[in-house]
Amino acid sequence: MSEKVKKMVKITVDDRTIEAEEGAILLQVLLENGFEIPYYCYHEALGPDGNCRMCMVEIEGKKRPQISCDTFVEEGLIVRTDTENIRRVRRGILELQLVNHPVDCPVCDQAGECSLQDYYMEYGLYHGKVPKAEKLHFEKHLDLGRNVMLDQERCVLCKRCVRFTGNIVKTGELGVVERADHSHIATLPGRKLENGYAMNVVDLCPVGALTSKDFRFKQRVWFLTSTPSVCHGCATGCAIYIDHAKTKFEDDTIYRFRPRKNPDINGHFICDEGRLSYKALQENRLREARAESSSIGFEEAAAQMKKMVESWQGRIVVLADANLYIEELEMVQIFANRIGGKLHAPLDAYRDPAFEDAWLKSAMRAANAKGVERLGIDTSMPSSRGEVLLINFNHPAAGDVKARRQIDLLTHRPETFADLTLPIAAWSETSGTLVNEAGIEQRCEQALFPNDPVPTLMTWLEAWDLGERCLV
Amino acid sequence: MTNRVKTVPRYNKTAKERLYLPAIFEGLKVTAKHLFVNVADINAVETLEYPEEQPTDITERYRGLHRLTHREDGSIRCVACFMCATACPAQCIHIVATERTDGIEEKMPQIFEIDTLECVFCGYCVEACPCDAIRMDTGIFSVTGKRREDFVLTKEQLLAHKSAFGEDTSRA
Amino acid sequence: MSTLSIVVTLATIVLAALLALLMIPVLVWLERRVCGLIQDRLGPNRTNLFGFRLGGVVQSFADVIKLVVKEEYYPSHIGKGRWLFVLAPMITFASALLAFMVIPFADDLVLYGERMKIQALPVEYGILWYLAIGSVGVIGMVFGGWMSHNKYSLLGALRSASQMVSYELALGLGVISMILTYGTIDFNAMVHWQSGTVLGFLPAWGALVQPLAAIVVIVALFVETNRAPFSVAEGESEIVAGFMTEYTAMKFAMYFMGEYVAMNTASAVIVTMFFGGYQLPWLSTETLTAHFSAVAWTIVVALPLFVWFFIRWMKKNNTVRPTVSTDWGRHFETKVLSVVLIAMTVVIDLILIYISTLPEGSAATTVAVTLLQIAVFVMKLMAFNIFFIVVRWTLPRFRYDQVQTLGWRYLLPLSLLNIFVTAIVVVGVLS
Repeated sequence: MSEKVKKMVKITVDDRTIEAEEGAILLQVLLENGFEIPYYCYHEALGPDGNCRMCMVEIEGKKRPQISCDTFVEEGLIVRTDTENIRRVRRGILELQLVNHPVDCPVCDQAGECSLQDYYMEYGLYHGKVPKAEKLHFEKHLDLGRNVMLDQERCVLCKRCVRFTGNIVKTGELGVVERADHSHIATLPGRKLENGYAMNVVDLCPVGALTSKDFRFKQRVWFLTSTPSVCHGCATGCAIYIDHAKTKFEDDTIYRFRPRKNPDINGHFICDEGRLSYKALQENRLREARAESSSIGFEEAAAQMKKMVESWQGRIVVLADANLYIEELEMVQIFANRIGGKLHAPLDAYRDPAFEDAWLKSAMRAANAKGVERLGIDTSMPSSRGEVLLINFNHPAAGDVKARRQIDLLTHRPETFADLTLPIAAWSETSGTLVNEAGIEQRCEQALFPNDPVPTLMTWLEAWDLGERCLV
Repeated sequence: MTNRVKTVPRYNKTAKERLYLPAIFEGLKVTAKHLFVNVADINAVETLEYPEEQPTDITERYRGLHRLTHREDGSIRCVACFMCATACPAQCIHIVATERTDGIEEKMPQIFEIDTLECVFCGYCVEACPCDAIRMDTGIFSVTGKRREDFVLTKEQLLAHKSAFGEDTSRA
Repeated sequence: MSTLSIVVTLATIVLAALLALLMIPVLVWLERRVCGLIQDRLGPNRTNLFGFRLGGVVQSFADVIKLVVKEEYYPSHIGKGRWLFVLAPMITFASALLAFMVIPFADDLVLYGERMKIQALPVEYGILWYLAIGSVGVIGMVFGGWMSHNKYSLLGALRSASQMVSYELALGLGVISMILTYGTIDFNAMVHWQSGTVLGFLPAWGALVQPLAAIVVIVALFVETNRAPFSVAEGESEIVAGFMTEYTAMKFAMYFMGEYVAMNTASAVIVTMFFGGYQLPWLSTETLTAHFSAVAWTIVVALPLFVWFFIRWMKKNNTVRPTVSTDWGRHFETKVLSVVLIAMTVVIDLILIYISTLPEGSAATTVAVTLLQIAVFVMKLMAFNIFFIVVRWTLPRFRYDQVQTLGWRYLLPLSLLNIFVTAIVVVGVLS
């Protein structure tokens, strides 16, 4: 396809002059320049639909307000987004949207991130004229499968979910049924959602019609903090937000992952497995150090590790997990050099061709496989000669290496304990850089600050005084 | 001197004031009168002899211990919307929500605990509740217990508290 | 020393010690109750021993127990000086107690030809002893404030020390004019002097003979005891507890008790020097002994009347508001106390009747007169203690510079003037 030459033109919005690409969608330009325009059906990834009519703006020269999602930028366009007329239009449309809305806010999970709530507080604030008894009723908590719950009464019929299942994942499970006042979203009778990206409709839905069954009733959204990070499910490295909360009554916990917009990698979406991988970070974690099976304190464990490494000098094999951050891998590399050990990060253990698909899922299930390659770490399995000390930095296939003695530094509880097992912080409890399979570097910020934090990998290596690496 | 001079009244200038003793005597008269009136008849002292006398100014607006209200069929009215927990300035309300299966509502609290040792009895939770599910009209002002745990009111305890002013129809 | 004088001396010492020490819980109780009633509230009245509240006196004993079992704690920076830290309150307490020992509780007891002073320390220089030992209390305060290693304690101690030193002058000069008037430094002789009349009908009490000296000395004694309105040392709202901040448990208790003993002593001195001491007005000891039967019969009639009124008052007041509930505990207590009081009245009346039948000048009459005088002294002492307490809860505290102004610029010249006038009158006119 030929590249269209991007011509920048000037438009005037609310007496401000803005430069924009000619032919771009006006709503997108307005949103990018910080103007607050309400909208339901438009989505950057799905394109405009023109059915909600909320994004109306006044354009000089046109008699009636125009929807900005179907207006394209031309030279000299004069736009007004905040006039008395526009406010009246918005309030009217909002009132129509809310005619049959059940006002479920106390029980709806979307409260706090709901477009209806936000726009009502900003543009509405009217008294509804339809009494509760006269509203139409539909199905309330319908389980559509794949962790998606549908509430047909709350829907504003923006059809983002229909367009997603139809155009993006091309499975077409959702559609609008019946006419006029009785329109609602449904699947064909007996059919459920069955694609690997189904939970994205939960993010797309601007109201509480489609909600995550996994997150249902777990926490209120305003208690959550969103930390930008990267999913560690596979080498694609989709950008995510980690939504976590530390309350007076619970330690810092992760409640869900949400996709973060990254035009280079994942656009606006993530796969379902990656979305649900937050559970693995919190279940079955190792939090205490062990010598064989008995619990020991952290200082004693560090001393034992030092002693073992010194006595096995020269006969050490180091295994590193390919999910570790670049900074941690570098540190492990320096450590291995210092103690005279051979460093391996076998990648075969992570390959899963069955997982791969045409969009976001990669067959390489390690997040930093490219980082391992960049650092020149040996990616083959070490040959299992018996008389070695194996230091395992959280590699899942360490059991395949036969060693006389083993020191494990793990995030999760193993089935059997090695000679010395030390806990390390998971990737959400420390920060670092990952390199995805296309070579793009991404930064993950530390999300969790638990009350009793587990020491990080860097902390265990402090005894060897390997110098500072990047800030952790 | 200009006309912006403001004359400040000065005290203790007359001979009688500077003597102190007449003023002291006046003060002693007042004090002694109170003393003798109260000693002559101890009932003249307006002290509430608790616990024999109980306070008489507990009205419907008085913020005593909390209670969770019931629907007409006796089930819990609260839908675990977290408005009270969010509004509480002392963060003393612990709620864990769960699915409600009897068709009346979708959500209900599995755990609803109020730590009365942290509570400041401000009444914001009552104001914040959209369902009239929590009220503070029990009129209970005295809570005793031997351990800290005794002061954490559980959902069952809160449901069992009764209003001191007759069960009003809900305004929800 | 005959056995009689030994017995009497011992009895006087015991009486003085009891008076001083037992007054402490009573004064604490009075202070709290009176201040409550002045402020239209009840003071403490709930602590009881087996249901006997006694109006709340038991509270003082509960306080004592609390202070005794509290944690002993020393500031860490004192180091080696801890012995002085602990000694300071003892100095204050001891000096206040010692100063009380020269007050006569009754006239000399003349029994079987022996003349025995009813004073714990039977010395003739009572006023000098009081001035000297009473001033030693300041040392305890200064030590306390200094050893606390605390700026605010030091400030409090120094303020108190300088205040007390300033008013020592006024006190001493006022006392000098009294000495000039009475012509003696013996407390007992002073009381004798006050048994006459002035202007024909008024009792010759010091307050009426020397009103200016009375005011100067009373004010100076308020200051000496650190009582409001001159409580700069323990200005409760200003510098926490002043020099007593770092003291806990028993050490604090000793400062606390020392203050009440000092107040008691000051009341005793005022009563002795200005209000006739142990004497009933117009009646000297000789008159009493001579007409003892009349006096005895007056008491026999008056005492039951007084007790009857008291029991009636107790019935009305020792209860919860009758409209609210009935208080069986307190009703029982009222009954028991009534019975005890009536029994005591009967016993005293019988004794008095018996004594009045005895011939004049017998030993029993003299002893009875002594006891009567002791009773009169205690009543006057209590009246003055209540006066101290009421003044404390009437007047706001003086600002520190106002205290010094009062001491140096008003009381000192006034007392000097008083001395001159007294001297002129005593030496020039009367002799």
